[in-house]
Amino acid sequence: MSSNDAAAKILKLPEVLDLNAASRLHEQVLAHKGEDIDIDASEVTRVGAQCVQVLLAAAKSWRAEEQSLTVRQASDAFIKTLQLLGISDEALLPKEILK
Amino acid sequence: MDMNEIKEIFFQECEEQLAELESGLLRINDGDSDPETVNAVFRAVHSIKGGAGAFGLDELVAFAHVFETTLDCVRSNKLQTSSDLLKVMLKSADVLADLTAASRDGGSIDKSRTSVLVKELEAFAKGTPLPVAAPAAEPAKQEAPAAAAPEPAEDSGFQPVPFSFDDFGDEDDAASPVEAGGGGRSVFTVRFKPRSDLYAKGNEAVLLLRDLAKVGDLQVRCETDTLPPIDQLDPEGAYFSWLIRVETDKDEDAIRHVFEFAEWDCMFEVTPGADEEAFAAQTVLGEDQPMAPVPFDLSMLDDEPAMPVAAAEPAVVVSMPAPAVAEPAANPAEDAPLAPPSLPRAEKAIAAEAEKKDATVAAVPAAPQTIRVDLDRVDRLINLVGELVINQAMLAQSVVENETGGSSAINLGLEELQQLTREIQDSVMAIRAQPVKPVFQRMGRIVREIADMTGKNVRLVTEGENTEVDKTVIDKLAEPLTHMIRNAVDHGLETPEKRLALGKNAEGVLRLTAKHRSGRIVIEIADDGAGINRERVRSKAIENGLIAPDSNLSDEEIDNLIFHPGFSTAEKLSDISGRGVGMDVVKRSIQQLGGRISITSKPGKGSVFTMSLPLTLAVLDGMVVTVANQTLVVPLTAIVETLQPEKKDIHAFGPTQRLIAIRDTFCPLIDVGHILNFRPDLANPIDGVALLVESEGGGQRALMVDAIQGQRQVVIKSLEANYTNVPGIAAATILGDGRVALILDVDAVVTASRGHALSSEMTLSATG
Repeated sequence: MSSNDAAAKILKLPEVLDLNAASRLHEQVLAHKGEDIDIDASEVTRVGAQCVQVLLAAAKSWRAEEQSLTVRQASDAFIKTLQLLGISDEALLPKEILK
Repeated sequence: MDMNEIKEIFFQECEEQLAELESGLLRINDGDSDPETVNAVFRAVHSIKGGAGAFGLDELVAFAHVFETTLDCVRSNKLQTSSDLLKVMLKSADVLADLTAASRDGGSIDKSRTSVLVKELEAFAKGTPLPVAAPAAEPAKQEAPAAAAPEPAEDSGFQPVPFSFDDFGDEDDAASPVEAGGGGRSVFTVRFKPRSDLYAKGNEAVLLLRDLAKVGDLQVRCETDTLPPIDQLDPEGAYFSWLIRVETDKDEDAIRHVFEFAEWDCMFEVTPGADEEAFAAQTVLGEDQPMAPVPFDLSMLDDEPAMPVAAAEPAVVVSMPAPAVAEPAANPAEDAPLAPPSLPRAEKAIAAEAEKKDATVAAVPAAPQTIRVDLDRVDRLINLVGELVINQAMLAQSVVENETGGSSAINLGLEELQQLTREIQDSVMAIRAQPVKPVFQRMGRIVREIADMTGKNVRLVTEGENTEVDKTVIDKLAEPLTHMIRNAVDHGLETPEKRLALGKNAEGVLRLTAKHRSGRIVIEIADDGAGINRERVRSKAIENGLIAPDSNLSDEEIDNLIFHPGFSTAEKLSDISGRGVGMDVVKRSIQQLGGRISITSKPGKGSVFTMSLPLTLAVLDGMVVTVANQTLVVPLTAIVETLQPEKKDIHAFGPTQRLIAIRDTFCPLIDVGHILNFRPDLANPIDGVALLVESEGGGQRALMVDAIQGQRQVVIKSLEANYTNVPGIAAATILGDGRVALILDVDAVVTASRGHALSSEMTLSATG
């Protein structure tokens, strides 16, 4: 599983973000609290609702603290799942990655 | 965890579900109209079906499906419960149990019985109950499970499974009374809010929504307001809920079908029609991102082409050109891109649960968690604790003997050790304690079967089924109970006609009760039948040479004759209870458990069999006494009080009996040493101590012993296992000094003291 690169403040998401990954993802996101992060979801092949919850909660919290949290790259699977779930958060699905 | 282990877990869970099913049905039968009871029953069948589907147990799935369909009618109030329906359902529960057992252990089941029940169930479901010959069962309904069952086997790849959608379409249309509107598309609003259990069980909202997308075009709105800030978030919690507009040419059932495996772990609601208001409200909230809904091709979900989708809008429209599938929830092949390819969903759920159990780390405080432990391990632990108790006693004794007792530190330590040992022992015992409920429930089935065979109407009433007793006791309880229940229905209860003629209710009542009484569990089987035919029993006993023709027996003694090994009742017994097993075998198996059985019977009113069994077969609080230089242990639970007899209190009663006056009553005085043949003559009561005991029959007796040594907890070592059964002795134990002491069977001694009428099996010469 790839992990975050704290120096570059890029959080690279693992391929599988199923329900077993939610706790770990939560920890990883919390570890970046207070700094701007870019999320790389380009390798994600599977994402479950609980991980989406973590990401969306993060996006909201970051926004509230006026920090930046943005998904810079995203795989199709990531995008489609979020859309399927009816998630339309600007930070998680920014216009750039949707083209 | 390999497949077999998972399967084993499935079957264990099946047993629990079957028990749940049966108790629920019985509650409904008793007039419980709580919808939650119906739900619980439905849930049980449903879970079995779900698990069975995952393992490809087609027969089980097929039957469970039919059963479930009928239950669903009850659940949705389309079908009223009636005693006929309940009868069929209870039988169905039995068949389901048989099918489960057959799936686990191999073997076959009576197919004709199953198919008759299938027809009956379907007739009920269609609202045309036909108790006799049902017409050809609705074919579509039978096809559905058959088609569903093989799916899990096809999970090897991602290829689309070839389905004939037309069949399903027809079926759904036929089953749908509501929305068939001339082939037009109907709109439903689905509200779906998972609970964290849903995820914990390996279900995934994403998969459910994908499956739903196959039913029709979706407009999905995710409500995320409950989402807490990231640092307060439980990553394994459930915060999202969804409002979904489904436009489909299917009916409501097709939508429900998607959620059927998740239904119990989420709030789920389907309403016909679009809830435009709810959607509109949301649109206002999201007004800063005004965006037209964009059609969304489901094929994208399968990772094929990248497809541009316009940017974030409050509601994403998901449409699907392909024909919808009616069986999506159970279709792992379709789930494949998101689910691990080799795991069907139900299996995944089991695996996920098992993983949770293994990883004690992420224990979320929720429902009480349980683990399944091999019984052998518990037994080993209990054995070890037993040794620990003995060892602790020995240690205490040697401290006393060496007179190092002066040091208070040692004494204190010993006391603490004793306390701890005691606590450990209690805790270990509690692990083994189980409610008698499963055994009682099994009896329900036996009653039904025998009632069917004998043409009698019987209602089984159980009480105190949560009474807990050691697992070993429970395991050995089923057989004697079965025999007694058979006997009670077969002989005790009269036929409905006869009952009516006698002015009784046509339905006989069999009451099965369990309760704790003075450290034992007492189980009663009471029927309201004819009672024991004493004349008949007596003449039979004379015929068999058990009693002399002129012997004068009390009613109680006559009743107890039926427990006598020589009391063959072949002529009297029918082929149901008379399968070569008499009440003597029942009595013996209960005695082997350290229990006793007695009977009271009132002609015309019925009989009550009372069994009293120890709660545990492992330890006992006892009073250590000396009798004729032997050390004996008397179970403390039997002792009411101890007293020092005085000469003026002792009265002779006949040539061999003595009475002791205790306050203002007289009580038979029993010389334990004499009864056990430790000494030929009666000892002088003044030299000994009297233990006032409560015997099973309720009466009090004074047991005379030479001296009391003390009171202590002893570990029971079975005499039967290590030596042989000794009348008057319940078991043995090892004392602190390493010597063996015998544990007195108080009731046996009391019975023996009553005289010799039935004491052929009570010759107490073997005691040493």
